[in-house]
Amino acid sequence: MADAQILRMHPDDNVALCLAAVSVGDTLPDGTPASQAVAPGHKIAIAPIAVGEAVVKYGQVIGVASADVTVANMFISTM
Amino acid sequence: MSADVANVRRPAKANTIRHAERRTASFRGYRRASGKVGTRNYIGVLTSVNCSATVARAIANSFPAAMFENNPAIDGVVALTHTTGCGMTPSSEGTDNLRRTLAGYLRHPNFAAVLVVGLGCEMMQMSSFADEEQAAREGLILRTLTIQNEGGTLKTIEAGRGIVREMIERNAGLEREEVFAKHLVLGLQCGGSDGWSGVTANPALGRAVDLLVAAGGTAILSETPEIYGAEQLLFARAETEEVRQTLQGRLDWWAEYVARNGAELNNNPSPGNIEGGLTTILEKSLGAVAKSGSMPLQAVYRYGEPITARGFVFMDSPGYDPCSATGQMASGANILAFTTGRGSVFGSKPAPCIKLASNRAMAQRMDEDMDIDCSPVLEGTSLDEMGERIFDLILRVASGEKSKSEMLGLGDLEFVPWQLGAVV
Repeated sequence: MADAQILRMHPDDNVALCLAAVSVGDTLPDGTPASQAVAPGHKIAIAPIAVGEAVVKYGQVIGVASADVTVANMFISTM
Repeated sequence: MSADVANVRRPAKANTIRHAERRTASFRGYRRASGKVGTRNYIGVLTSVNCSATVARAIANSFPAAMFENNPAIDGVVALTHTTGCGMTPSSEGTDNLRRTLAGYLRHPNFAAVLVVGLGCEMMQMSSFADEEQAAREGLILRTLTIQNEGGTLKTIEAGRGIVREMIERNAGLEREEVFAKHLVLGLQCGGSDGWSGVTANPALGRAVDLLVAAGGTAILSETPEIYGAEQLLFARAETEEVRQTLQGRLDWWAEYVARNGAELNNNPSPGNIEGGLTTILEKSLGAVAKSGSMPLQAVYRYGEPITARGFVFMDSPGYDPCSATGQMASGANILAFTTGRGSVFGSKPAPCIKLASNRAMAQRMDEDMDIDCSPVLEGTSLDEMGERIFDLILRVASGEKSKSEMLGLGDLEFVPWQLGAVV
């Protein structure tokens, strides 16, 4: 298992950009293992987000969670 | 994730406008009698209506690119034709769009001279946008022909060839001159965005825009449906309340327009955007607005409306790239910068287009199309440094260096005026 290569773009963000493919079990900076594989360029949750809560990237709201998201889950593109 | 954020929306952060120090920059361009400066020197053949498109192309095809390989004064003869001009409602938004587009192109500083070919009986009457005497007063070289007056297809092609031949001779020996970068009008585009676009190519282009504006130049952001969700960032940059309200007015128009057509603004992003890591229109828009830098928003223009303000401005257009870029050139853009993640192969005439790749994998796979790979910002190159590189390339291409899309000969079929309204 490797360290996940991720980039948090703003201190307020609750998702980070995956700079390289993340495999199940790769660890995030806080030690949490990734629960899903995430493709490069996609987002991974770096804080828990409850259904209805804002998803924040670039310090801005980019959407609302349509299901509870735990840390280290990827975002799936369901609108 | 849903883009329905009405309940969790936060107001835009306090004004984060940066004021880059004024700087001096220059390029080598063609000074025009109108006072504008061209970055290329084309002879243009335009049409008022689809009926004259074949004739216009036949005229331009008589002067193939190879004829100009050893002629530094002329970049070529280009026919930019379109598919409408008749069967339109005389006073409608669609007719106004086409008229502004054609009027803007025949005044474009990248044309040394323009020939407009019409049929004669079309709704888009030549006299409504192309008046030879008026053009002469503005210092433009404009000629018009109608097929019905000339006596048919072949006679018009022959007359057109003669006119273009004269235009080429008149330009023999024309040379570029050193001019200030305040004469650059940069059209900003992005297409086929991905999860990298908002991190690498768009903010890097934003830094280049700040440098251009600091040097007195102009940059145009467009693609109104793709600022949806990020408009607060632009409102916060509006120089005056009137500018903010004009932009709000265009967004309101779009909301009404898409509703009328049974669509919605938040059904973007495209399948390719999603596969590339973009989930909602808000996420896509935030990345898209990053390419506009951080300078104050000076003015908001209609599609193809002549841009007179200097600095950062907005021109209303669809998100459809060739259509948006056409409007920007009609408004006066003499160079374009286009960011892409999935890999756009866009190119334009008469203004050259530079393409900026958001990620290395695509930049390498599509090397023949990409002018700059912006992925080094992920490995320690600062956005400021990448912005300097982009600005430097903009000045070089403005001075005559060919962009990748130019070397591939793109731009003749990318003239796409915004069509709107009933075809009757």
